[in-house]
Amino acid sequence: MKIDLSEIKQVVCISLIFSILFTSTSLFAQSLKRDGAKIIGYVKDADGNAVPSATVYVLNTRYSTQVDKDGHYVLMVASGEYEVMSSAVGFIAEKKKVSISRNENKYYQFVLKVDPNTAIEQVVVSGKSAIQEVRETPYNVAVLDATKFHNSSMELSDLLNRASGVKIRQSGGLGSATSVNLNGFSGRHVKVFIDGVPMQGMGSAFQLNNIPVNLAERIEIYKGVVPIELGSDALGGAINIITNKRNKSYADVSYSYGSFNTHKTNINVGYAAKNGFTVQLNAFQNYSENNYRVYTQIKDFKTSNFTMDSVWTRAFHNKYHNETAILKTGFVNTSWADQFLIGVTLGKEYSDIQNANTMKIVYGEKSRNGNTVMPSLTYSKRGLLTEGLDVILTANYNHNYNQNIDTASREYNWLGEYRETKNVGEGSRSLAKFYNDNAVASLNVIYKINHQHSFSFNDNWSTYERKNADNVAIKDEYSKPEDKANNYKNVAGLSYKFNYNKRWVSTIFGKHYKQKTSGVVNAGESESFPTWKRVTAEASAFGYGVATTYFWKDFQYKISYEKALRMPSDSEILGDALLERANAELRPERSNGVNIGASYQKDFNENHAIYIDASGLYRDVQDFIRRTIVQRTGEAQNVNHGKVQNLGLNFEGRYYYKRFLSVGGTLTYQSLINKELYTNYGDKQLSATYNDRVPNQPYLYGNGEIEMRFQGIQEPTDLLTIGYNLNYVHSFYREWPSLGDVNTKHTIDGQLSHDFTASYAMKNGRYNIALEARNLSDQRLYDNYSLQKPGRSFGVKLRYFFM
Amino acid sequence: MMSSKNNVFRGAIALLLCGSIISCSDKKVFDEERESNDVEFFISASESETASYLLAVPDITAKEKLTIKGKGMESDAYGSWLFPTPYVGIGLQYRKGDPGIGIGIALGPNGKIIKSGSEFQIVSRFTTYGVFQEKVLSVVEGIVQRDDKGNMDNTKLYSTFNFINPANNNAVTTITKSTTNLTGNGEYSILSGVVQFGANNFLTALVPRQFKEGLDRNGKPTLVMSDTQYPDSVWIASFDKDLKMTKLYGDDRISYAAGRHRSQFYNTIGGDDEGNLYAFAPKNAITSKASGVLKINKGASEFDKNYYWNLDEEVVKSGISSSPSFNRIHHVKGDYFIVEYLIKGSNPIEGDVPSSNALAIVNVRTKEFKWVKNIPDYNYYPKFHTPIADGGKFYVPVKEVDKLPAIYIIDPVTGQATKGLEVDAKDINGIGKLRKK
Repeated sequence: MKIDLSEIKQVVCISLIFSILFTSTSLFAQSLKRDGAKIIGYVKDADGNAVPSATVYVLNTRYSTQVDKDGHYVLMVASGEYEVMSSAVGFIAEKKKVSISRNENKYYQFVLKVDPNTAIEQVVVSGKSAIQEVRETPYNVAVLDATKFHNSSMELSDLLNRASGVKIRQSGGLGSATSVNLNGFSGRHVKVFIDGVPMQGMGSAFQLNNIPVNLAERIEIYKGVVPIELGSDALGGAINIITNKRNKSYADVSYSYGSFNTHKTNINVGYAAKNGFTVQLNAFQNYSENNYRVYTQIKDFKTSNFTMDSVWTRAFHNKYHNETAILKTGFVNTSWADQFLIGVTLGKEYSDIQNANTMKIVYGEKSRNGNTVMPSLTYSKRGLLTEGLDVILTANYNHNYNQNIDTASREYNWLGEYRETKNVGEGSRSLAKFYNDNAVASLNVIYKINHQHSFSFNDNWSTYERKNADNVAIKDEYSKPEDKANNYKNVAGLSYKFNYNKRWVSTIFGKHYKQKTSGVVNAGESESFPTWKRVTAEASAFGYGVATTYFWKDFQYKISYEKALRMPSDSEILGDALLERANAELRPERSNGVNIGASYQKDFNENHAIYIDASGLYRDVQDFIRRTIVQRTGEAQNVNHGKVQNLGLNFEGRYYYKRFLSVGGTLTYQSLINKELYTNYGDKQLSATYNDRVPNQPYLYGNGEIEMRFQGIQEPTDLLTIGYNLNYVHSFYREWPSLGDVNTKHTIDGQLSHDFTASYAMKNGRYNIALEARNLSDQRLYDNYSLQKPGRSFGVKLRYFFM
Repeated sequence: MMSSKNNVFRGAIALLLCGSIISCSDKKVFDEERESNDVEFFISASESETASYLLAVPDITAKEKLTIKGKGMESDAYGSWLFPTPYVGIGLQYRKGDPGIGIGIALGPNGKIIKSGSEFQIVSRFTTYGVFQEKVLSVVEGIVQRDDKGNMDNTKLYSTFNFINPANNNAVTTITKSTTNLTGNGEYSILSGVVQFGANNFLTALVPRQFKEGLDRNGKPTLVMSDTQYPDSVWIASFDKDLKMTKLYGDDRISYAAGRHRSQFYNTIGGDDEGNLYAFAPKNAITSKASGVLKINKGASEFDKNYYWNLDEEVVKSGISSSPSFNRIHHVKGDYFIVEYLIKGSNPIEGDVPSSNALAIVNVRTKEFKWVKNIPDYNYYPKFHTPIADGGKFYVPVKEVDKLPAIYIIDPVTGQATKGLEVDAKDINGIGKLRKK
């Protein structure tokens, strides 16, 4: 296993510098006058013993804390009236009404009663505070509790794959290209956020396919209508990853080893002083040879022919590793900030490139690498200046590059054999570094007039500059003299929320999108005689929506509508000057969407509980931006051409029996139908695929899981968890379903795979060991045509967790 | 409350059923069995940029609409189709950045196209291609050779030749050979076109280029090409199967005989039915010569001094004053050739133009020049795809704005085109003729 020591040194150095910087700042901060209020106390059981796993939080707010080992807690709050709740696994939660004024300290002792049935409610409740809150919003949202999987060696993408409506498509093993499909939408139509900050442009060393699940507390998946707090031009929905926010000292350290020489390490440590000063370090590393068995055609060097039939061989140039560290320091729960954190994310990634976008074409030396440097700032405060005014500000700047290296004068086959060639490059020679500079800032202001009325405002501003400096790419007389593009975008949203007795909650919102793109385009009459000119394209648009939810007995009903937009990207506007012509007139993609949903949640008696959620969405998308060949001129151009209709159905059901058993599953069906009448832009030829299903999209998939917990095998606090997960994807076609002889169609075979995990937690979860078997029946799995994913694999994870 | 709960369950069941119905409907079979004729036309039609549908059609002249719904062999998109034998078609794919893949196809027993031989990897990209001795020959220009230590041969530029042999399971034989100083003036020659010439040779036009040592954009030494010093000369070379140059014809009345579109060099030489050879030279940016035709008589060792035809003058005489250029020629029958022209249309062009939008019929013996009639108006930039000549007729797929792509059949004697089969697809990207094995 190779870990770049210099990278670690860099991280350590930077952490030291930050620690010194902020220790001195903290001394200064201590002298600041406090004007907040404190709720202080203990959480104990009936026998007077501390309950160290307890959480104390204020209902309907973000104020939350964990008790220390003595059961002691301090909650910094603004003055006001609150309902304070304390809960812990295995105990019945307790609620107190608190009224507190400025600079006041109030003392509350919680005495939690042991749940006589070691009740299931608490299993739900332990994650309930946040997860339940999200579920109860009027939006169609699925929430995944990531903490349940902290003993597993999963990446975020693996976890996301288990949500209803989501399909993660990977082109291979650990670190391979990953795309998110959210109810039929993918790529530019789905936006992914981490703590509300768009992940786009964060660099390849910090992405869904390499971030360990331990970084996250939960994942929220908005299907369709997206709240303004996630201020972006998402057309098909959004995914928000909420990271762990622990306001006290903790350590979560894990290492896992698995098949294909896979090593993963995660060091997640935090220190919190009594005065609120905190330092947090989250460093993770992934390494894998990814040398799994593949079933493919093999080329004969003598004839350049592929074998007629596929044979089993093994990936031999498929190594991946990344090393990433996030260091944050600042203050939490002080009078002037609930959270003030300055951080930096440093990451580095390397990947061998084993094959082209068809598996037949194999490489033996091609690779890519990238790095990212991202300073960031977070500030949040409830009750800033005046009661009911909450402010969250985040900002980050990201400088990253990606490099493709292809300089070998060799030709390989799938047996790992090679022959010398006279050309440089297995594909086309490349040493290019592509630099990206991104900056993102978002401001979220919420003003609660009273319990019924509140307003919120969100502004999300982003800019980037892209320099494509492929110095060795084959350039000819058609090539652009420079390829530098920049873009700035601002999305502002305003919403009003009406809450009637917590039974009926409604939100109405509007969003304004503005974008400015600048780059070099060919302004000449034809591609053969280019005239280069720098152009700037500006666009702005309005979107709006309404969402409402109603609670009735154990049911919750939701309905929402949004007119959403996606602004054209720089490459769509500017073209690539080689094959694609610029189109500064591109309009945003438009979509009208309706979501409905109903969920049912009930604890039947102390032993049984059930949760069912069924939701549907309908979307009508127009002005799709497509790369098309313009018949009139014979060239490619991005145009607003295309309409689709999407009908999606999601189902999720879970059943709990005491703490012992939980069984659940999700099922998603989506029908994305082509509604574009004409074949070509500017051409009245009728399309042969009108009303056909949009190809190359999984449309029926689901998963099922069973988890069993056995407590107190050796010690009362020991917990053995055995889990089974089934993953199902129905087969689908790469091309339009109605076209061609059905026996000759390119089919992405259905998937049915089984994963097993067993984890054993000792000393209240302080020491953990987990064994995992993935794809136990060793199926050949494909998310993309011909690109095989790993077969059966085993792994073991050791984890130490302390808080 | 019960009713609401029931609704949830009912919804779930409906959803399950819905899913299973949809999944079943994918398996519809559209097959309609028929026997293949001995010889059928081949059509490659496409709806997207990633796939083609390969069909066998008994009669391409029928005024009918061909559908690809449930029909045709689905394949990757192959941009070029060649027919090295009457029995086999070879499709070549050009990928940007990655090596391309090729396949062989044949006419199957029940009116269907089937695969023939192995798929193969196209080791190098290609800049021109043709058929020679029942093999496909593709050529790529501008190859810099280095020895095992990485030292560059700075005295010569090379070309790589790939022979694809359907008789040997589509095996590819690759030869890299210097094509520097073929013309005797020290310049490098890019090859344009591959035309079988007698049983043992093929002809190709040489496009000369100067070259010198330079640096690539990464600072590494390479050989850099620039315009020729001899833009007013034409060279046609004949090669044998071992790529030995057996003959060289040169003349100064026209420029080099090669069409160009983007990186591809198109063939503009062709033989008549009697074994005479004609070289067509279009205009290019650096020559002072008019576009014209020269002739090499059968068995002669040089160009016919008495034959020269100025095509620019013919175009002006025909009433077109915008001095259009051509980039491809095809022999149809006897003395008739079809020349693919690109004429500036009246319909405003917003950007790039296709490689051709008009067809001319030329009789190289009588020097008669006429525009093909009844084909879509060049003013609207119809798109012509690679044609075939068969049985004295010329078949060309055309995509016209607002209409389905269709095959036009041209009679070179009358100069009239008739519209044949329409295909309900985005485009027709290749046609051919196949005989049952």
